[in-house]
Amino acid sequence: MIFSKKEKPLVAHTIEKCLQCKKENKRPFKEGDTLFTQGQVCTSCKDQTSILKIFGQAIE
Amino acid sequence: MNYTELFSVDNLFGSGSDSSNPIMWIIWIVPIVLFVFYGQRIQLMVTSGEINKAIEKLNRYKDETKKELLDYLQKSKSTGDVSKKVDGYLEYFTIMPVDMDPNGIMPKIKHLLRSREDYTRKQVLSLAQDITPFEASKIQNLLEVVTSLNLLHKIVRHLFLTAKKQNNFPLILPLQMMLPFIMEQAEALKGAVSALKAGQPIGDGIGPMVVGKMMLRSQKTPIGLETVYAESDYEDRKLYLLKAEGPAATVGRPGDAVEILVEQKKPDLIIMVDAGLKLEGETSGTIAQGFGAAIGGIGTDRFQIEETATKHNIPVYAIVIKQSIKEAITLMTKEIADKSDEVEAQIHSMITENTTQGQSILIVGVGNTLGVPQ
Repeated sequence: MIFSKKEKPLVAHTIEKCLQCKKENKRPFKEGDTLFTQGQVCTSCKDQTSILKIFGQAIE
Repeated sequence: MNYTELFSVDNLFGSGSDSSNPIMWIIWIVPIVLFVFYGQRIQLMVTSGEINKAIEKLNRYKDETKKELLDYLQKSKSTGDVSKKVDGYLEYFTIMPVDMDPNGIMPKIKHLLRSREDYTRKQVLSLAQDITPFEASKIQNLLEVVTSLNLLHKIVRHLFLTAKKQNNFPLILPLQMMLPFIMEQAEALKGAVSALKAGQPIGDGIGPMVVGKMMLRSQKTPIGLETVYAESDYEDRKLYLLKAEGPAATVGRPGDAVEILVEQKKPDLIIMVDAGLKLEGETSGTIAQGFGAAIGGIGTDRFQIEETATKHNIPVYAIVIKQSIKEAITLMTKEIADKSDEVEAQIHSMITENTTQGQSILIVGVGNTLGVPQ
């Protein structure tokens, strides 16, 4: 169609937030990631993170 | 004969001196006659080509999603010939109650839909061995996607073949007009499969996501099928937080749960948070506030909530997060996920503006809670 533009596919991302230093880390979604559950260890303060958001973002 | 002169622009538009050229007459007369007598047929052929392509696409979507469902079932240790069972399920139908006398029709519809839901749940459990409720809910949703695509394909094909059989051009026009909307829905359904399989939150889950976050540090109590509630406090007010039990792919039974909670806890205000369809041109993730029960579906839950609220004279406020149909059933986009904090802030300001200390508020997160625990 003339007016239709091709949509870019969404890539799933996970946002983890450190419970201690409140730093947010964005990484690709891994199977088993669930909102509000424990994430990976914080890269800066080595404390536990929690999964804050899971969303899809179009590849640019 | 000078052919260069024959097909010159001057001759073609009649501005030349010689207007008696017979070839020019034929060039003009033949298309006119052709379009007068066969115009509708030509248009029918062009339109048929477009619709045919759409039907092929719908068929492909149906087959692909069915294959993905069967592959997923294989991974979940399927029992027996699941392909045959799935094929059988695709042909199930629901006969809606007679509406000539609409009085009392809602309990009938509710009963019918509950029976269908319960039957589907049992069918899903028979498709695979030892599956968890989470996996069963995902399979149930996948089955619904395949069923919807199958239905869309069959309806479009039926209308097209009927029009073609009767050579009835006016019959094909409404189909041509509706086709972009049907295809948008079909593409959304196809796009939902990957999120459903991976257990990722979908756009419709923004309501449960906001309320689920508010429930995190509270004791959760089951209330109704696949539905939980928790109690919390905010500025000397009691909050009753209600949502479907995540992370399963379910919407729960908000109608029943609201009725029970209102009877037991007598809240002074009900706030409903849900995803709402945006109009074309509106930005995704826009938050809008309003009045009334913000809940989709066939209408039985909305009816129940409205009845309960009216009976107890409780105002119902709504917060809606706008999104397209595709965004609502596919992986939640960043624009929508980023609005969760703002929605929570709006709930809090709605509470402080409309209630006083000591009062209680029932907050309902409406939507499919796939990938969203509490």
